[in-house]
Amino acid sequence: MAGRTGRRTFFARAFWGLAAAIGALLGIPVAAAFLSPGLRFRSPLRQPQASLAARLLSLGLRREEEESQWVAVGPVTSFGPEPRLAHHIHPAHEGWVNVTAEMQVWVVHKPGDGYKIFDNHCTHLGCPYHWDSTEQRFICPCHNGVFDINGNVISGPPPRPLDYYDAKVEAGTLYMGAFHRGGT
Amino acid sequence: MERVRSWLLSRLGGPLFGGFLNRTVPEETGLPHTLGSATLFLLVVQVVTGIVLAMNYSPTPEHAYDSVMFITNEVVLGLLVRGLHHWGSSALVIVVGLHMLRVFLWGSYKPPREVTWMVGVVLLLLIMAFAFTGYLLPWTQRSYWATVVGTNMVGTVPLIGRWLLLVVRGEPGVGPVTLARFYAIHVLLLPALLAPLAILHLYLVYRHGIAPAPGNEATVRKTKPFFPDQLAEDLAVSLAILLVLYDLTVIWGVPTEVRADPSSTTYVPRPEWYFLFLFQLLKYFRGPVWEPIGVVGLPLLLILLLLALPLLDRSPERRPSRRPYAVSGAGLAVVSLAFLTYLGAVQQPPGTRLPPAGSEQALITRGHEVFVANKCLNCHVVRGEGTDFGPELTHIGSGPYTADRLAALIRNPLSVNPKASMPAFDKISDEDLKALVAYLLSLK
Repeated sequence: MAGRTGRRTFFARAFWGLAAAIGALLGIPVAAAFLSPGLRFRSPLRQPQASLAARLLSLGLRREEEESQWVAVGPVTSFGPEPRLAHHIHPAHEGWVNVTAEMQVWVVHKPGDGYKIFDNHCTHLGCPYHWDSTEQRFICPCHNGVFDINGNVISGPPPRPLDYYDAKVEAGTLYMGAFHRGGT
Repeated sequence: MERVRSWLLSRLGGPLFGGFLNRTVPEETGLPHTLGSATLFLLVVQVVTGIVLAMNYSPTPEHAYDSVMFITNEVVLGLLVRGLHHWGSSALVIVVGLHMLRVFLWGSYKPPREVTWMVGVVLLLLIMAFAFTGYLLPWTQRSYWATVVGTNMVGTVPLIGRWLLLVVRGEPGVGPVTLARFYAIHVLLLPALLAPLAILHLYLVYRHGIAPAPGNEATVRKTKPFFPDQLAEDLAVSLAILLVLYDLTVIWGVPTEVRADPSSTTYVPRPEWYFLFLFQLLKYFRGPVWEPIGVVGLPLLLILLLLALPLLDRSPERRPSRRPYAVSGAGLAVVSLAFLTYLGAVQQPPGTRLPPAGSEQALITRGHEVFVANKCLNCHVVRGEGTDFGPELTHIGSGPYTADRLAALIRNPLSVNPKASMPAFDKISDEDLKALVAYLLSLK
């Protein structure tokens, strides 16, 4: 009789243990893929050269650098100390679709201080703002957010300075790079 | 806790699966009987992985391949999920086949379990339909051409073939309508058919109980509880299968393939392994009379034979040793399936050879892979495909570029053209760069 109960307990334990193992092995990858957009780290492994085991193992362990490439904004000669809205075609990646969209950024070049490239969306709720040359201020029409020429908040609801992009000059052309949140 | 439990039980009218779990099965029920539950388990794997795959998939020729690459490279653990789905489909075909063979050898399809068998045959056909429609979805060369050939087989049906082909494809060729159609069939129609039939199959198994070992029918027999004894064994086998799928994914990944090219003239179509026997069989049936017999008649006859098996074989004898014709028939079927599959796998179609290693053609083929892998089409157009952010490359080979200049341009664009906005691809190995340049120069 004791043997029978022992056998029963053994099978019951085996059942729950196996169920948990299967649940984890199947549930974790599926849940991770489902939550993928919310997990900031991505596979560092866009390089097909990486071995498969390495790709699987390192998944989710490393944060991928914010993806960026240098994109030409225009010839340096067209920018000066007065902020100017630059239009250019920007290649972008939306999921698995490559799109090219017209993009606008504010460019300021103060001699001796390099180039500043501001994202043209107010840091409050994302409205496009403009430069008021008489006031010498960036003004957002939506909720009266006001920024100075360096992107710092002067008044209004914006929670942080203007967002900006890395800038570099090569062979007379201004390039924009990685995006940064204002104040960082 | 206990009060919640008893409240819930009384409102549900008693345990929901009590009868299913708290039943007994013959004591000799064992490993061979886990194949049915392993099939169910693999179906669950396909469903849950399929759901997250579908979230990141786009059933259009323009985006299908890119979205599958997105799953593989960008979705967290996407490669693993895709690998489980890919290898799971093959495992499903194998396990279903073994399950069927076990039921056949034990004569478990005999009274009173004939309908269980027939429903099982329909489930087998549905699983093959899943495999066939799912194969097209990644929109690779292999999947595209296997579908072209596979659907063309439908076209050989006498009298209504052409009409039927149009219905299957949705359009004269294999294109956007076909892809959307196959996707809808794969994720909507087939699951809707499979789910109720699988439940019916399970219900019938429960109704009639597990068949005792052949020759053991009449005696008062020993039993063991289904839960947890048999279910623990079932889960152990399911876990083992899942570990095999993990293993295959880690070792082999998911076979990489290039994007479908409907204009290709050199590609040799080849189906997935579980359709190879049919593919091979067709080599022996030629001409307007024999081809439909081989393509349509023979498979149809096999299916009908399987469906009607419990009606044709009505002797109650279940011991394999007393059923020499049935057992040798099954043996013959298994051996010929295996042999045809083997032949289909090893026979190279005449006149089609891979370019010899080291040849110019092999270099160009490799270069195309490098081109695809580095996503050059994200900014360049070749023969109408890609995004025209950068210069079109369709005729780059007839341009002024020498191999060295092209190589330098790819490694460091600014060194060749100070105004270039192309990013530097300085991580490509020398060998791959050489192949890539050879490919580009072949575009004339």
